Amino acid sequence: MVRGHKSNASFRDPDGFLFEVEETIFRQVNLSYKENFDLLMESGLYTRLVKEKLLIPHSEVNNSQKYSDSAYKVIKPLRIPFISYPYEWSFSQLKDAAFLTLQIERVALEFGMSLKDASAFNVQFLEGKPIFIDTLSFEKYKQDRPWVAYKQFCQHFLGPLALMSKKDIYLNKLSTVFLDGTPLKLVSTLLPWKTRLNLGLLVHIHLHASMQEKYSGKGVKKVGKFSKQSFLGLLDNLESTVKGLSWTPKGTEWGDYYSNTNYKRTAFKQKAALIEKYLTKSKPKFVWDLGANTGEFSRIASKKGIETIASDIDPAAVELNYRIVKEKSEKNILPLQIDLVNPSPGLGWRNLERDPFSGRGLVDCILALALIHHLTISNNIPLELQAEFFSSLSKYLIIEFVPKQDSQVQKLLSTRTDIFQNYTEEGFEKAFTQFYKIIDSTKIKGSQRSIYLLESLNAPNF
Amino acid sequence: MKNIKLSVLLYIGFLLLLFARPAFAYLDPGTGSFVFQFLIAGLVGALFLIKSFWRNLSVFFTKPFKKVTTNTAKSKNKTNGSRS
Repeated sequence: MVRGHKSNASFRDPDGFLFEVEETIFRQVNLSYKENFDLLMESGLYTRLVKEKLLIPHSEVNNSQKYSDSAYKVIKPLRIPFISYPYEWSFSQLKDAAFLTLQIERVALEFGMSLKDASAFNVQFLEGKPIFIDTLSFEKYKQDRPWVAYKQFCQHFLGPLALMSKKDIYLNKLSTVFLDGTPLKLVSTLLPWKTRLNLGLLVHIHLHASMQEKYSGKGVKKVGKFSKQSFLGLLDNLESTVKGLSWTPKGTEWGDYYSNTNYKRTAFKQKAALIEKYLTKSKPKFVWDLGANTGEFSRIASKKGIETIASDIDPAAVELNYRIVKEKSEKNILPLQIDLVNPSPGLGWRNLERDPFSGRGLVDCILALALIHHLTISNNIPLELQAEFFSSLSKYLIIEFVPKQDSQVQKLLSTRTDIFQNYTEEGFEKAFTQFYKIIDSTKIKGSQRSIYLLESLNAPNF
Repeated sequence: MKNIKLSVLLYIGFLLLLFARPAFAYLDPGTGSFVFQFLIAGLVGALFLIKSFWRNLSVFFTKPFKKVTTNTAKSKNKTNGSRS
């Protein structure tokens, strides 16, 4: 047996759990899951799912690596560079995760197995595409029985997608409150009445919610048969319903930002070249572009083979960014919807089940471009606190200083009193040099902005 | 049109469900989702059957022309390719 750290997010399933030994993730498969694990591996289902890049691949390791005596086997799954959560995904990311879950269930049925849960947390993004990570979610298909994960699918995927599509895009944030999926009764109440004219939504949300209410707390003595035909029909109907939901970003907060900035074409090119130069100098493996908009500058990092997180507060920008990732089959960039002044907190049991955004995953360089004026002027966050926060995350910071004379800042100041006396280039350098050493800085020609490469004085170790 | 008719029928069913006795929300509603699947089994099964039937029928009728269409598409791509 080995000493390791059991994952805080993997304790509900009695059939196994994740544990970490010296930064390597292992999954213990318990004896209780022996029959299903053997069926998954020997039926050809695992090979097919891995071949189609639907399921995370793993290798079996020696059983001496086991964490406890209940082990049947120990496997080492491929590590996901950055764990993200459904409440951080854009509409299309959640939609693709829903399609993946249905596709896996359909393939599993072909091999005589079925998913016992359909949690959105079982999906992660790897090389630009969603992938199922819970190898222990498969069980032998029980003839004539309905899908045990139906409720979970509707609460984790269909409900939130319907709310985002038919009511308001920000309603994906309900997943932060309801970790096991948004209750269908709530979804049904929030959705516009006309969604009852959509057959799929009428059935899987509205009628389904009523049935849940009718039967809550009751058991059933006798059930009929749920044929394979009906099972496939259910999956097909869920898929059509998901397919019918759409959301087109319009009126984005920053969507037209690049065509509406103070940057002329030459200045824009110089900014890009500077970021490229500073990335070459700092040689990061992991970059977080905070306030990335649609990822124009994030791609300078990701195209260099750097694992890049491109986060933005605006769901439209994140959606557009993900569409570019899909269209160009990009592999090193993950767009996420994060509000930097209120990032995803630690959630679930003891606040440890889902990690907070800050401190999740490795990062050795942060890009904070055209961000500082939003943090300072729109959100009243003092420069010192920004410097302290960034320096606690990573060794290097590539930051753009946007002075008060800049028209974007003037816009922000137009409706409020200017209480930001320290918001000058001198004030910025004074605040940031408490935590950083300035490696280099350059003024962008044709604008009043500057780009800095800073190195943290107390770089976090990883 | 077919969808609207089905929606009307299901909506009547939905109204009937509204008269169900109030239940306690803190209890696990998993049973409702379980039973509900049996209720809609016929509907989703039938819709799937009809869809598969139409799909097969359209494949049967379009198959003889498919080869021609593919060829045309290919030659179109070639033309575009040579222009660039």
